[in-house]
Amino acid sequence: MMSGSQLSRALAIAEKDIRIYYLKGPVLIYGILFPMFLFLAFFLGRGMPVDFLISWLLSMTLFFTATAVSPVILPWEGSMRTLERLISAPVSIPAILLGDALVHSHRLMTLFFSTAHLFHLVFFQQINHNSTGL
Amino acid sequence: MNAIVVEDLTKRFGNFTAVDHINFTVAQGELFGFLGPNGAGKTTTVRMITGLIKPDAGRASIMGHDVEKDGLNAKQVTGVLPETSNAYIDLSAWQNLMLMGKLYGLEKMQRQSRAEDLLKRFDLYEKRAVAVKGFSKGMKQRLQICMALISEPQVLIMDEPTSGLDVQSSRLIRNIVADLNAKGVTFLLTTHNMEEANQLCSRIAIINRGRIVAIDRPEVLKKRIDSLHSLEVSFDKDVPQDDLSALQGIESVEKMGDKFRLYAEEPARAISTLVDYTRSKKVEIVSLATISPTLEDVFVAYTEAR
Repeated sequence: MMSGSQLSRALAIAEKDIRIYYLKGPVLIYGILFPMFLFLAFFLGRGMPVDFLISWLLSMTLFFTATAVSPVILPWEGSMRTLERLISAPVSIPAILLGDALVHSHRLMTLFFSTAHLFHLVFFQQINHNSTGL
Repeated sequence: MNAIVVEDLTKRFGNFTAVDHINFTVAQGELFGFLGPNGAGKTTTVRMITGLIKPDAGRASIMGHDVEKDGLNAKQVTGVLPETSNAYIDLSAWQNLMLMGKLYGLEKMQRQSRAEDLLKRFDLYEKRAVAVKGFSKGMKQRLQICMALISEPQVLIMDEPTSGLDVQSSRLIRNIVADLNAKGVTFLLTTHNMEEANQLCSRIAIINRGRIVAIDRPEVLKKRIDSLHSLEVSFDKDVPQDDLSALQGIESVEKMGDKFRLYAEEPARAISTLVDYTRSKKVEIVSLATISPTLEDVFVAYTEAR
């Protein structure tokens, strides 16, 4: 069981990861550019409605950034020689891993809530449209 | 109580034994130097003591905390400057220090006031908001030392702290190391710089091929190899080296620029012979000094001969 002090150190690692890795090249490519091109492909190529595609784009962006950031962190720390600094601090290995995993879950939680919010908006708009006969 | 205890520490990489059953202790408040040629096992030893790699045999403890069994408490009282580590270059100096403060469990006010003091002391305060990627090598090294000091550790382990730095940065770091040591902080310092070890360390260990070949106070080690004295002499005219080699009581001669280094078992007798020679040849002595062995001589004697 992780102590409270180790948990707060894991949160410090997660905060550091968010500051550093969300703007890294691979994360931007997989998280922003890739979904953007898919959006354009479906919008221009198949003429899908924009309101549907926006919620879809947001979900895709969050999902791909979340999955792109986690595998990037540890190899990046190793190659940038910052991992030794982290390991030589009084932080347990589970706390380091939890900190890195929290970044992933931060994205996934954002994904869950924003998708739910958009679904709610689109779905209820549809119901309002139908009920008012428009 | 000893601050650092190393007992039979051993590390093997395949068939190669990088560190071979080494033993030493560092007393509280001591500044202990760890010297050795490249590949001798210095960094591997430091990495085992700081808990970065696991030893294959033996144990190490810091302030009574075993680095394997009680690693977190050992790390809590230790500040580390690893040779191969880096600060986070995408973060600012301030953010790096705040991160280290959080990793050592410091309160917000405490880490902010310590970070401010350290940045001012290491002449980085003006650049505190700048991303570290824009820092010079000396600035990065100074920041890393600040990161090691933010927790006000009782023990500081520094691997090559002044390696590759300019004279000003090296001098600043050496002064701060001496200041902190005077305040009771224990140091384990690895270095290639003999002058630095000579100036700072109260005791040194020389490691060669994974084994400790000498461990004592620098002056005691110098005395141990002090069997052959040397004289450094320069003249106002060119003097043939063969003439000096032929003088009575002089064992060997080395030419060093415009000077000669003369090795003799009895320096007083050698000086007398030398003065007689200069009178007979009408040559003036410009300078004459007896030279004691340096720490570099000790290092070479222990790492080449064995």
